[in-house]
Amino acid sequence: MAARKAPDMESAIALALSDFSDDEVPEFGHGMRKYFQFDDDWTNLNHGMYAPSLVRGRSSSLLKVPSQVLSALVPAPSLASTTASPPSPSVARTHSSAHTTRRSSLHPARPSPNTSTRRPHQSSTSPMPPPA
Amino acid sequence: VNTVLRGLRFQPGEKILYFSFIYPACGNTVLYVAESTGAAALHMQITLPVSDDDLLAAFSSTVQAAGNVKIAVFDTIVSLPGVRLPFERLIRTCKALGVLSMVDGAHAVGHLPLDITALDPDFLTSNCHKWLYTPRGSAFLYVAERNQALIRSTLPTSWGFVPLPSSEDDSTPPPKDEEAWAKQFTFVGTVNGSEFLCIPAALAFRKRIGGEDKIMAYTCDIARRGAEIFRALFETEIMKSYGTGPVGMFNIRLPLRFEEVPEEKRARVVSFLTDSMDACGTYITAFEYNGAWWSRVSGQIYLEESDFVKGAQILLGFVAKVRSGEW
Repeated sequence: MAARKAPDMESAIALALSDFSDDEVPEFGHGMRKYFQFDDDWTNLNHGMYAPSLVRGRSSSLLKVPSQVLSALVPAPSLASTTASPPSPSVARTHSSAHTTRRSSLHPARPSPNTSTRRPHQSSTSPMPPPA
Repeated sequence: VNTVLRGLRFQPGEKILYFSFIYPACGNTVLYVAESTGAAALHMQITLPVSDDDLLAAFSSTVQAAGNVKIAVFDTIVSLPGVRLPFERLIRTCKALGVLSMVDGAHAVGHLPLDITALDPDFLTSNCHKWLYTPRGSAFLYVAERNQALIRSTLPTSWGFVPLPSSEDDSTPPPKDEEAWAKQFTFVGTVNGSEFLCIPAALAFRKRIGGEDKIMAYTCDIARRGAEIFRALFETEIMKSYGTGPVGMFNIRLPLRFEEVPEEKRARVVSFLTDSMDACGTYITAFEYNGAWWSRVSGQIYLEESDFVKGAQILLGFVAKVRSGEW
């Protein structure tokens, strides 16, 4: 097998962003939705908790950035491929299911209600109440 | 936070100071470290919002009164309620009082400018999977060079760990590797590194669409306008966020008084609202804080005012159901 040049970060980034060109970048607002991973009918007003990560390219429901970048960094026969299809489907699937921004059973325990009326300047060494 | 708190060596009675509004998982970490080491957890009750001056004064007096505070854990922006803290001043005050600063910047990177050199915290961590657009599980930990010797190991300990030389070990120590400390974080157990490899691509994407300043400005502006839409429809108030600089998260009080809900049903309000919104295709954080119910909304570059109108109307509809008892 012929020796292959090790991919570098620069080419990996270029591959991950290969669908973008300067004249394509839309105004901020709904035009940016296509770059994020959520359903078309999902209104995400809670980026602070369930932040959708980027998708590569348009009209894609699969998170391709990690697998694209990873496959570009890790030598693989399909490195030269510039198709949108990730060389490692299992990686893409795993990310897709784990990162789709939709409230789910991944919901963490909610913080404990705080009904304390104590004011600042009070402190103690007692532990705070456990989360509900 | 775990890497730092579990990495430090505490003498018996040395204290870890934390605020009542700490992210609960980090609060548990403080309690666990206190349980498993000689450290003591020093809980500081502060009800938000609080002015920067009041917070700093309470912090200083607590540290001085308690004595022996080794490290203080505090946020850049608190999770719930989502308000900004004067973390810049807290870091400086820690330095002046001889307390290590552990900054939980979960909502920091990609959300607000973060000049770590100027801030000069002892420890600062931020996840990248919120405001920097990378997948979940990507984050960074900054440990000031002066403190790197305090954090002996990654969590879990893995291949890169360099044991201290043993007095019984007379073999020649290997040549010193100046970067050994940082290198150990590159191979920690079987962590999947792909999320981390997305960070350069996310940064390049952010640059391509206009850069950090433009993203942060839009995010904070649409959040502020969105919060005002909520406030106007709810006819309530936006929680004041102190600290220096804009934020992209706001808390709006829900138009629902405690006494309007039977006591036995109060604990179910948040889950009812959350589940109901989910079924309508949106999610707005609803939470109980200090005897009232609040909503928290975030700005982002894919949002417009119409999204906030839609979200506020959906949420208000379910709040009305709670008030009338039809739920």
